[in-house]
Amino acid sequence: MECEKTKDLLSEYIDGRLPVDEAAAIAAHLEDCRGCREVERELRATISLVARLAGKEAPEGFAEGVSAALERRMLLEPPPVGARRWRWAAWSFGGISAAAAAVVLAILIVHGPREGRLEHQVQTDTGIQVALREKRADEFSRIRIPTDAPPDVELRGDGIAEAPAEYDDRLAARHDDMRERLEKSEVADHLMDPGRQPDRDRYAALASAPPVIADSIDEPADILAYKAAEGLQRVLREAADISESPDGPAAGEAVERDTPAPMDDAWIDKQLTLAPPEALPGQEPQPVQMEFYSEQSALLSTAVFANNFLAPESRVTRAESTPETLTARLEGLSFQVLELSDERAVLHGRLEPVRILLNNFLLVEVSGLTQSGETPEEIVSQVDAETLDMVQRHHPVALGEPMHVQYIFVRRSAKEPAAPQDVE
Amino acid sequence: MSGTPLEEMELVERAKAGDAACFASLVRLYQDRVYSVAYRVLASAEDAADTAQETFLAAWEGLARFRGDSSLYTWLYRIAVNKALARRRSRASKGRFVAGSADGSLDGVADFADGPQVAVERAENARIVQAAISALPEDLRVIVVLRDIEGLEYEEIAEVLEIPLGTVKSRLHRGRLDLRESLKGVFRVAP
Repeated sequence: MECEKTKDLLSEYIDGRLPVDEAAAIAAHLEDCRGCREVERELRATISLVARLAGKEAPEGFAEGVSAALERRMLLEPPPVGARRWRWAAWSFGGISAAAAAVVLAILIVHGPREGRLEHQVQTDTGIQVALREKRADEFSRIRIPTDAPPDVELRGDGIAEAPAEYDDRLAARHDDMRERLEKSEVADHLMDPGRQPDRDRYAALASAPPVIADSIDEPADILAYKAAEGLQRVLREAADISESPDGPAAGEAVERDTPAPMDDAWIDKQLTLAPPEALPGQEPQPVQMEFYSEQSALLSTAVFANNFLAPESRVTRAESTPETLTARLEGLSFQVLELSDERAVLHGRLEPVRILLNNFLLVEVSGLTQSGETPEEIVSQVDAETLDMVQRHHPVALGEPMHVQYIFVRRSAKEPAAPQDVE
Repeated sequence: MSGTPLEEMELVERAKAGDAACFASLVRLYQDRVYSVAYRVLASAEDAADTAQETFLAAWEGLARFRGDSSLYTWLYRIAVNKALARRRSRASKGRFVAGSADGSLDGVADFADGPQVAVERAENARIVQAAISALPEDLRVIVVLRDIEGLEYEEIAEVLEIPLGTVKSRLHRGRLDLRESLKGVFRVAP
């Protein structure tokens, strides 16, 4: 056996991974060749040095720390149960009519060079809490879609390839500032039952919880869709439990329900039916500009955006991100497409009745709040002042009224830094 | 590679059903492995602890999708490696990362069985070895850590990293050869 080949196989030889005859040939060569023998000796020494690093133990109290973090999180959401049942596609605008059970409808907005997405939602039988949390920067970096992605790559927010290096720098620089701010306002809002005092301790616990980590290993959008669906499922289950409870709603609980029971899949699907944006007389559409990272064409950005709402089989691939295909798919999502070109895309949707835009990351729509008979204004009035202030400082949005929103995607040049949209 | 043992599967099932205590048992079972791999990739105790915690929280969230086709620990390793690399990239992009700036100087110090002199030398060696590992390219480093520190089989590494077996072999070998270059000075005088 030659030296070259021997050296190539030394690791496998040392690990005992070679077939007997091959190992014998190498042993024979080593016997004869001093050079190779030296390499083998050094490799073995290297392996042995490295192996001495084994046995690093987790710090004391580690498991307790995980449990505590979990506990904080479980304040917000119960553990995952059951299979994923609902389609992400169902989660879109105006979908939920004034159903008897209060339903939280959430919208994922891919925004700026980061992502914004629904993290989770929690709803109890006594009120509605919408908790939004941001994701970590290192996970944002996993959901970039470069313009040179292969044509058959599905344009979804789950890390298909790397973005240019300058994007990373920019992201990192912005993120420090962003994160600090978000950590302060991690829990975006709590819409509580009118008869119940806000639980400040709980808020504090939520606010101090670490950022939610969606498993970004695969299909984060699906996982989040699952979570969102899970939230809805729970709401409906709880509503059903209450309506089936012999005592009816607890005393003091301002609950009125005419929900058909049992709430089966068909009923739920009906609640999730998409509605086209209706005209709102006298109201100009509110522009919301979505800026994707450099060189992303408006068409691609729109496709990424749309795919967060589309069912897997109708998601748009890169090759499909033509104006024609996109228009057709977006209409299926009840968006009106006002403009769609490589440079600029404008979509039109309707939001109602409560909208909270948080730090350009998230947009949540709460609909069907008939549970407590509150008006959107009343609900908004319960959002704590700091959150409201923060929201309104960053967004020219009047909370509490139905409105039209235009999603505008523009192509950005490669070198142009991201506009610091939310720096005071 | 063995599948997930029955007892462990039961813990997993119960954790899936929302039993946090069972999940905590799983955490205790695997915390050292997860922490260790994060530590060796990141060379920072603080980052490793954060990453290990993130790993378990992500595992809790994703547990519903763990079906027991692979071992729980390969699944956990996969999450841990991904989290650690993501953290490292984010750290590197912020300019905080300095290769070899490990706080691993305490490695091996506790072992005074051979006398303090040897212990100190070992600690020093550990620091140097960690620095050499940290200096490896990411794809090689992870494999060296999984193989030579964590003791995974080639097949398990392929599963953790979702790469072909041939790639595991070639990267491991390249990683070791690189390390051999950086460590020549150490193992010539190693105790």
